[in-house]
Amino acid sequence: MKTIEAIKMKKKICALLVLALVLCWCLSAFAAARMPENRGALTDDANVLGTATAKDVTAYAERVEEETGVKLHVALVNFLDGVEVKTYARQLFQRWELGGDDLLLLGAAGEDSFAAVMGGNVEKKLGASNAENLLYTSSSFAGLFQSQQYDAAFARFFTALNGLLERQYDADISLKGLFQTEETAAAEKPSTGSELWEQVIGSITENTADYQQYHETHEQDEDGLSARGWLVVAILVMIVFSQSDPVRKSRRKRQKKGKRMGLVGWILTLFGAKTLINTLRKRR
Amino acid sequence: MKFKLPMGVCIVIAVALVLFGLGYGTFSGFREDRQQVTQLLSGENGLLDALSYQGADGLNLCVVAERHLSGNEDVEALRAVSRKLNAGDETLEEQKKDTEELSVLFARVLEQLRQTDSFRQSQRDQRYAAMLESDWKNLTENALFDTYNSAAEEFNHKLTDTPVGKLAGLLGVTPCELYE
Repeated sequence: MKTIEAIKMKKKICALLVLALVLCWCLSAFAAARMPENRGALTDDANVLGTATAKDVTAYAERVEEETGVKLHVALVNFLDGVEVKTYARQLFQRWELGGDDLLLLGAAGEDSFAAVMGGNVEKKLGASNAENLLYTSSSFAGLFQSQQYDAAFARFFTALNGLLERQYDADISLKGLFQTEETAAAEKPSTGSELWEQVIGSITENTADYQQYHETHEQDEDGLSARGWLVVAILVMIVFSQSDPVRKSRRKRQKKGKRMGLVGWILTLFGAKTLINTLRKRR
Repeated sequence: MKFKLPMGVCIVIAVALVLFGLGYGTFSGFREDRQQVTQLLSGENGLLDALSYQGADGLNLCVVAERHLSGNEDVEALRAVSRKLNAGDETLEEQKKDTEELSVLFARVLEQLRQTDSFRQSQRDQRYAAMLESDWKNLTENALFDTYNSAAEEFNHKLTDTPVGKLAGLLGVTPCELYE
């Protein structure tokens, strides 16, 4: 009975493993979206934040880390390449190798969508529902972001976040001098291109150039074993022939007669050529 | 007792070593060449990635288009073919057909957008459309596609039309798929 139960359990475990593998394969079938490299507290590939707000975000992130240990990251992209915003945010979180003390706020300016991802420690302290509240209710971030008032959106968001961090971490984080000017439209630097997309094109072009260089270098090479490889084969052949009966006999005879061989003699002996020559002479 | 071999056995072993060297050298040379061509195809930011990014641009354009051409058939068709290309599950031949279809739909949707009043009034979406069009062009006109096809054709020719290539083929080296 126990054996039958054990077999049934094993079958269930195998079925679950197969299902997990199939799921992993399905997930991996989705193409990777283009993602920016981590440039610290603020990665604004969409170029939507004003200079003052960008400086304030970086300064605020430093203060937060100092007081609470939480590392803030803001990523702004133009589009999500067909990936759902929360999925993109999670993938970016992993790609940037962020951890338990990190908080990532992602915005896709061209899609009017955003998401936040927290590391385990931050989520325990702040609570997942509080983070959602910050985005949608307590800070009017959602409305401002979706109406392209990015500077105001982030100013309001960080002000609200500050209150939450101070309560949950029992910290005193000063907002003095930060997020003072709420620019209503990001007219300063309208997005005309994407540094991320340009980098990707650059990488593709570099790949092509690398191949062309490889091709030019190897065009003249013949396919086959290298000179070194043929040398190894030659040495192995010499070793094999040196174990042959006629060569051994010839060596023994020389040793008995006390005769010394030159280098050429040794090489010929190894190949067995000397024995062959002597055999041919005797036949004549 | 010392190990000794008859002459005949030594000759057989020597010939076997030489043949092994020839076979192994041929196989490893062709394998390396194939790896380089495959790298151009499926390596990071290779041809398959470039095709996937074209699909991504199609999907991104759909996001912009939805704001001005809601429920439009061409936008839906663009979304469908972009998803296929972006997923990258098909053969190269199928992806080539998808790219051609995507090209036509991309241009058609852009043209329809430019004729829409709400789009003309939105500087933001005009900028995004211009960015997407530029990126699309950079991807489709990239030298990568021609380089890959030349590399694959040359490799296949060497594999099938030379004696050494035929030997490599017998040893398991397979031709490369062309993007056409």
